[in-house]
Amino acid sequence: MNPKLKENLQSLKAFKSNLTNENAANLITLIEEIKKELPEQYIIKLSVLKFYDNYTEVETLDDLPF
Amino acid sequence: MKFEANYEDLNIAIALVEDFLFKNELDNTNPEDLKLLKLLKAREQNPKFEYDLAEIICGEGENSFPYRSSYYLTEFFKYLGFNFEHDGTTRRFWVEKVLKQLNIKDIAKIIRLGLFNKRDFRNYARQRNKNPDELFDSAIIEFKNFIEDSINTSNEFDLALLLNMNVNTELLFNQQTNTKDDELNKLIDESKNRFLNPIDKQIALEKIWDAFERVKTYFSSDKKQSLDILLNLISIDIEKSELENEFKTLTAIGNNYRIRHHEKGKKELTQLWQIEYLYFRVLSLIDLCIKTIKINNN
Repeated sequence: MNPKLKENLQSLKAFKSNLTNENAANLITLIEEIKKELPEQYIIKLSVLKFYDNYTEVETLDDLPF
Repeated sequence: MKFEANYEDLNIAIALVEDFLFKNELDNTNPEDLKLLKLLKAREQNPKFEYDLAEIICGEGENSFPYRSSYYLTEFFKYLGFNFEHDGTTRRFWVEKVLKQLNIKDIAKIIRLGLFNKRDFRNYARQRNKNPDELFDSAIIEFKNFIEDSINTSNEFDLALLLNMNVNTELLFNQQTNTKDDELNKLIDESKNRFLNPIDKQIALEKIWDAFERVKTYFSSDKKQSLDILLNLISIDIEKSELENEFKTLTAIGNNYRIRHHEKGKKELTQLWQIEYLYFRVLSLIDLCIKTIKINNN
């Protein structure tokens, strides 16, 4: 039942060994995917979680501080 | 700026997804799964489930559970196979955070093997000079209350109670009568309008009784034949004879009291609440007839 969510759960667990500034964006995307499979009360609980402090999203070279 | 991963929140997310998958996979005909489902329901319904359970585990407040200091909290989780070490922060907040990282099967394990460990109750009772069995029994009652309260946490409060209104009555009044019989519609709607004015209740009662007589002839000018069709239509779950009796009783009341006839000798209705009682009794019966007529496309 719900193979996609099971697969996403495995991907989520993979971050336990390696959550870095580089893959933080992937985690955000994964969480958004997971939310689509969950009812509202679970989404609310997921939405308040913060998986990192001081994460920097760099989009272009101009965004770099030099 | 240094990037810091928050693995605690990652664990919480994992536990949430696991809970949802368990919920869909557990078998509600299996006694063990049924217990987990009830616990999960309590967790889903109570936004402070982990905090409340943390207070119980810490033995805080007025509950009957053994008090656990920082050292014993770490031991408590280690004994159950969970590698968490108290970091010196407020005990109940720390335990709350730990519990959030555990899925419902782990929570069940903590309750089954940790929270109700009799050895802890015996030691605690000895220190406090209390009877361990009494302590254990009252802890069970407190825990049951915690689960029941959690499940009922999100029950919505009926606004009707606060607004001092009877929803059924309001519904009965707010709907516009819309049958094929215009005269019947007018009588009912005028009666309802009159009823809302305290000095017009007697007239409202007379009008609704006129509507009652009118509805009897909805299907034919032959009152007996029309009423029989109507009774057959509305006797779905309620026996036809019961409804027939209600029609007869109300017809007799209409004839014997000063409602439809105003000759001397007719009994007068002097009390407002008696008028209101008869009004709603007959309006409810008319409402039943109209609803059924509507369902059957007039």
